[in-house]
Amino acid sequence: MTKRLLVIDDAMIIREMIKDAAREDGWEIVGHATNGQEGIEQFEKLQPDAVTLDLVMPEFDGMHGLRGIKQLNRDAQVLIVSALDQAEILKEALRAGAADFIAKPFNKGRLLAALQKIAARTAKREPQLV
Amino acid sequence: MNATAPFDPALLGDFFSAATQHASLAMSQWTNGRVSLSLDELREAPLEEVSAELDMGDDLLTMVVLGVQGDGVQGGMGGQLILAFDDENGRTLAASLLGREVVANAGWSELDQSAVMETGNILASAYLNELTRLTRRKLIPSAPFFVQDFGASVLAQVLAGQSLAGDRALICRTRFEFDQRQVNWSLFFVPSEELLQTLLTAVQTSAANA
Repeated sequence: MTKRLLVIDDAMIIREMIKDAAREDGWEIVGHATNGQEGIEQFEKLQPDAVTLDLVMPEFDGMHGLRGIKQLNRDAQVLIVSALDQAEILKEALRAGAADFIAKPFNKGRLLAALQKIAARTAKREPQLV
Repeated sequence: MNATAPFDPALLGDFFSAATQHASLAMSQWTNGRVSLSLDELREAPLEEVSAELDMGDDLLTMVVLGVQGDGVQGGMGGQLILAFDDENGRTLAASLLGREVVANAGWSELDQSAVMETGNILASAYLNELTRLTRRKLIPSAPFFVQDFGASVLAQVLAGQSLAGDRALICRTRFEFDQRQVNWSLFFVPSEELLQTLLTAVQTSAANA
């Protein structure tokens, strides 16, 4: 079954990179957002299987987005994709429920491996047809 | 050390060399090995002399401006990072990242601007990630702003903000190479007085623990 992905990043070039790579790997891109608050609203509306989330964005940052998304769905699978590779911030994101983290600049293989891990995790939660 | 005491910028040399190396590695990954950078010069200058010292001139420049926020820094604002190019170099970078030919005298599309802004974000984040590791103080860049203006004009605005926090600036001049050829890019890091003190305290602590 095709997995549905929401991309939250203020940088158009990064959104396009993530979308292109994920589509090649079989994901359906259901939408995007450019800050944390818009990301929460898009998540509620689109109910994606997974989210990629930048941390530094204008107005409402990624931590705001992560907390809001987890309030809507505590099982939400959120992959942090950020150039901010600092131990304290990453610990905070993981405590808030992020599924994984990859640092920008990322290579496609690393991104897809993280998304595949998330897809496998969500597949286990789905009811199986027998 | 009190807030206005003079200091030797060389004290911070190791920290900024390490941060520049870290940023160079990130830039190399981002540009498929085409761009590298090295620290050229670290210098303290009175704010009123910075424009002349940096010699940004009256040329129209393409710039990415990022604020620096840090914990333990009053008001949360710890300075500014500015990545500047002349128009030709900015276009070359954007085209390279987007896998396109350079088109001279064309408008800057949203994707072109995004390519250059994300370069500023990756560079600033790598720089501040390393400074955070060394100082154990959280330093975070703001989202980047794309600016096309006369260099001296932008610098004047940045320094007007800085003057609220102190009367001197730490100038870090950085040399960039694109395909192993030196290019006319500049990175300026102008920390606030508060951040400067944070960095100096971290250096002293690090030296005391060595």
